[in-house]
Amino acid sequence: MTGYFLRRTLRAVITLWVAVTFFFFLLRVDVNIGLLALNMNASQEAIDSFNTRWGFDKSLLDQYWLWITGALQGDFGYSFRDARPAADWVAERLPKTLELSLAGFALMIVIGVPAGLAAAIRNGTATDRTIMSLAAAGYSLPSFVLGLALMYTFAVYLQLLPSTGSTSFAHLILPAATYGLTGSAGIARFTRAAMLEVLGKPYIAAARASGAPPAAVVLRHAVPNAAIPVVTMLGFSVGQLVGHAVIVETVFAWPGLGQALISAVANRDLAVVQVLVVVFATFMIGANLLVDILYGVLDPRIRTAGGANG
Amino acid sequence: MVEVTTVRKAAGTPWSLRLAAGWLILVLILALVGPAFAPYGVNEQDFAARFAPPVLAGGTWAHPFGTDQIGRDLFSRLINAIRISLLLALLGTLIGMVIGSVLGMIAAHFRGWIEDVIMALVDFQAALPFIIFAIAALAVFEAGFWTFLLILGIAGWERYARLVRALVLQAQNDGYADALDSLGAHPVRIYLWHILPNIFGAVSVQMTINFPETILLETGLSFLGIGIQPPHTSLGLLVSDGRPYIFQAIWLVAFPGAAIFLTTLSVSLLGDRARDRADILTRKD
Repeated sequence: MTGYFLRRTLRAVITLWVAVTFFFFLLRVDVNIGLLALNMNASQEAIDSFNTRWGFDKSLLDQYWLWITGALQGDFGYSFRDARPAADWVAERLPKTLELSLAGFALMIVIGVPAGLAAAIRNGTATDRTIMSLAAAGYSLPSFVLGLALMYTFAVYLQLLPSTGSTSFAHLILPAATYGLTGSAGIARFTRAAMLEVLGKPYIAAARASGAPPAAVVLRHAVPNAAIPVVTMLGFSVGQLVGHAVIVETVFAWPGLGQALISAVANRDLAVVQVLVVVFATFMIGANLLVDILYGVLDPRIRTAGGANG
Repeated sequence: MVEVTTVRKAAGTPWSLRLAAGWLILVLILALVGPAFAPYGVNEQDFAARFAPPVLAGGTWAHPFGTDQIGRDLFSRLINAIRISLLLALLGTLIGMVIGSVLGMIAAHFRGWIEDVIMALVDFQAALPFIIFAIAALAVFEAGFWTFLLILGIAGWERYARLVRALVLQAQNDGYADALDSLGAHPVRIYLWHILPNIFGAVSVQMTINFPETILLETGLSFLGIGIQPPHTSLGLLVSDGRPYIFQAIWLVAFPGAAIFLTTLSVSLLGDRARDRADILTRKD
């Protein structure tokens, strides 16, 4: 049992290390970072002093060693733009991203799970078809188009809510709704499929045959069993949420990590890009680890058998 | 089994699928021949007609879909953007399919450490959000058309690799590969001429899932301003260009946004249908 959790944790740590290393070298593929970060007209001296100042004159392996030993002590280098520690960017903007992501994630579950359950219970009826058509539409609607459509409807046309910014609760509504609606389509589809599978099991037929009321069969026997794959799927969808966060934050000028990442990329501010990439990778790997551990707790068969993939 | 298929046929093709197919054909025709018939150039400016509304909102037929802040004709820009976005999505899907399938076949053919390395790469790719890869890569490489296409192409390769590896392992047990092998056929010949046609159905279903995702990735990155760069245009870049003018010219966002939505929706609907059919064909019970 402890062996399972230790193996999973070790695996997550190794994945994170590989990811961090990969991104470190990817971001240094272009040898002439100075030219990229300054501009095409920069003099050779300016480029040289830039490279010396930020340590780009050292060998790649030396740079890597300095960076990784620094990172382990919480030093992620400095922004090229304002010379502040890159980690400050994360500290400043993380609360905003968490606020939006948690609100959006909660909405995703509140909309997606009941919709999927309703579609599965009313399988084959007009309710099912309506919900699944909406889900197919939601799945195909890019979050930035949905975000702008909501912004136009509620901020421009009805003038009920602010269009951009993050200073009040009203500012949170549109971005969180965009985030939640886009994500709920996938959840509804998956919940429906998981629920239909459980409803087809012999023990459900047995429960029904025993004369249990239909609502009790669904609530007491079907939902708990369908919950395991749905919880797993929610954990694994954190990766897509990172993508949503970047786009939704940009649409609504929400000052979070995603928006910071895009402006750092535009400014070629590599130290900031690097730390943000590490933060996003940590989120996703951490969420996957959490799912693995939860799964092991919920389903003893997995930890004893070692799981499907080790 | 047989009953299910006959009932489906008797019910006919649902209108939603007909519309989806119709839209895709229209979009393909626009992408192929549209730019030749576009009334204006992509960057042709008509300062006298800035923010001209579309016909539906009281505009004139001179600019049926309206114009933007410097008087560029949205209809002409839209046709060109559809061409670029479709081209990127199609080629991107194909590149991912080829990379993933080749690696999947290599893994299944050689087994041993080669398979371990490839599958470790697959797990690694699946463990991280692809959009972060794409953004990091676009931070260092100049975002030219080909670089961007390659990045879009890499998206999703790991799922093809997993799928093809599993399918090839299954095919190797089917006997026909063994038979060809004992006849002295070259492995490359066996894979390309015999195994590939057998697994292509499943691979093409995966492509119908990958294609809309590639459109969403491309338009998303272009919307963020780090994908396709002007003077080229893409549906995502058009939405991004129109965004500051959402208060006075909603059509600049609405038309390209709708084009992305309808295209991804159509491919998804047809893909779902193909997947249902494939399930019926392959289900063993």
